[in-house]
Amino acid sequence: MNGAAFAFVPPQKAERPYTITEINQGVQAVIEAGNTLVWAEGEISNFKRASSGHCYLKLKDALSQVPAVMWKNVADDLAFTPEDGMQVIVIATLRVYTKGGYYQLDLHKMQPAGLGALHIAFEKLKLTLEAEGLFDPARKRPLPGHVSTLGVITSKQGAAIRDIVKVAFSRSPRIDIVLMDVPVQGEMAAEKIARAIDDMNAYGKVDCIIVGRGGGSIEDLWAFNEEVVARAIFKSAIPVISAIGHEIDFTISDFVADVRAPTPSAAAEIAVADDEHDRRYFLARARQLTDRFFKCYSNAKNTYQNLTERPGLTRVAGIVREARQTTDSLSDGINRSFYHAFKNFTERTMHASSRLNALSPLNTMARGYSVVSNAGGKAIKSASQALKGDRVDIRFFKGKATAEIKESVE
Amino acid sequence: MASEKKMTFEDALKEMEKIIGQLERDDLTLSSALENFERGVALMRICDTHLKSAEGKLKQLLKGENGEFIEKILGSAPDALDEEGPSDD
Repeated sequence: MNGAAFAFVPPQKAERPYTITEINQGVQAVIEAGNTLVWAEGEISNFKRASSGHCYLKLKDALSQVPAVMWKNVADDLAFTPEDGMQVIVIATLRVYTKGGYYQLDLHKMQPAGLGALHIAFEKLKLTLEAEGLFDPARKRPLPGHVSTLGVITSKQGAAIRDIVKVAFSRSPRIDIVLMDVPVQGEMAAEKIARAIDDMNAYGKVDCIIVGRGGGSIEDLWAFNEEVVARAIFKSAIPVISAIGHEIDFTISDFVADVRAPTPSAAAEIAVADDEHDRRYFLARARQLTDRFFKCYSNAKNTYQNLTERPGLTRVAGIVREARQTTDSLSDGINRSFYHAFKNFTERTMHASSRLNALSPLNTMARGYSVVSNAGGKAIKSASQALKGDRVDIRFFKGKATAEIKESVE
Repeated sequence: MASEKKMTFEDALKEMEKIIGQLERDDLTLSSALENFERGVALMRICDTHLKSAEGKLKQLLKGENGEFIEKILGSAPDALDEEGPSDD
């Protein structure tokens, strides 16, 4: 509305009197012609929270006061409880109420004026805990190599748990996740978070704990700067990953935790190994197992002479068949080269098996031939080794006998 | 064999690696090699069963009146929280 700003016409120039409505609207026009957004400091008095959730108060200083209102959505987001007598800093809009003939500060943000004091307390706590050794890198516990149950301490309604669940289950749908629902901002948050860390340790059935929340302002994250949370993390026997959704700032919890993740999703990536990696590793080991076994088997081929090994041959065929069935049913991670190598192996084994079988003397003996050996157990191949009067052992296909040579002819 | 059903993927893999180590020995008899291979195949089956499973659960941990722990199942992999919380499509 550029052009002439509203101005009240003086009595001598006015054609008629202003109505009261026109007076109030005139005041509104004057004020709203300029910027109405202000940054102010004052003391709270007459603070009242209506059943609707909206808050009505006065802000004052030594000389003056002004009515103010804080709507429910702003009031609900506060990190502290406003009280009469508190010094606060606000961002507000000046609003004129033409019906009532008054103006008011419509509060968008409010924080305790002592925020400077909060920062001093933060630095002091940080130094104290550091001196006690809570931040010592040497005492940070390594995360377990495999997390099969993941503990999470955060708000059930928040974005953090959703991110963590999504990332964790996509990396490994076979793990379990155990959630403890806590407020992650507000006055009771620190105490409840600390208690949840203790409880999860008492429960014990998780391999690793993620403590965190999504992004927010410094006041929103303040619970994670509280001493009680820091000490609970330090005391935890189960490794703790802090995931406080602030990429840049570090809270005290981040310093104490065993691992600090920049976001809840990153925490889930750190905690949970990707199954795909496990699958590849397993398949490599499976291939190695069959390769090694085949080498052993090849080395043992000399044992065909030893008849007691023969049962082993049929056992091999059975076991190899079983192994092949196992790999046939392996989930789709099975890669072609492994299957090919295994198929190759089973064929070579069967081939070796049948070659050994063919070379085995038992086939010959089944056709009626016997093995004659001398007293020393050596098989006799020529008549010169079987002289008259020698005792010999005869091995038939079924059973054996001993005999004495009556006559031998070369 | 009942306890083996509960064997974790990691433990089965570790034992498989031990068996591979055994099969590298020069002095192994064929029957020992067979035994080891047989065991190795059983372990392969256990690992495979684990990798095929996709039954991870999301549970909430609560405390009962006497301070005992209660697990409340909220959902299972992969879309555990779809029924809960605000829908934002």
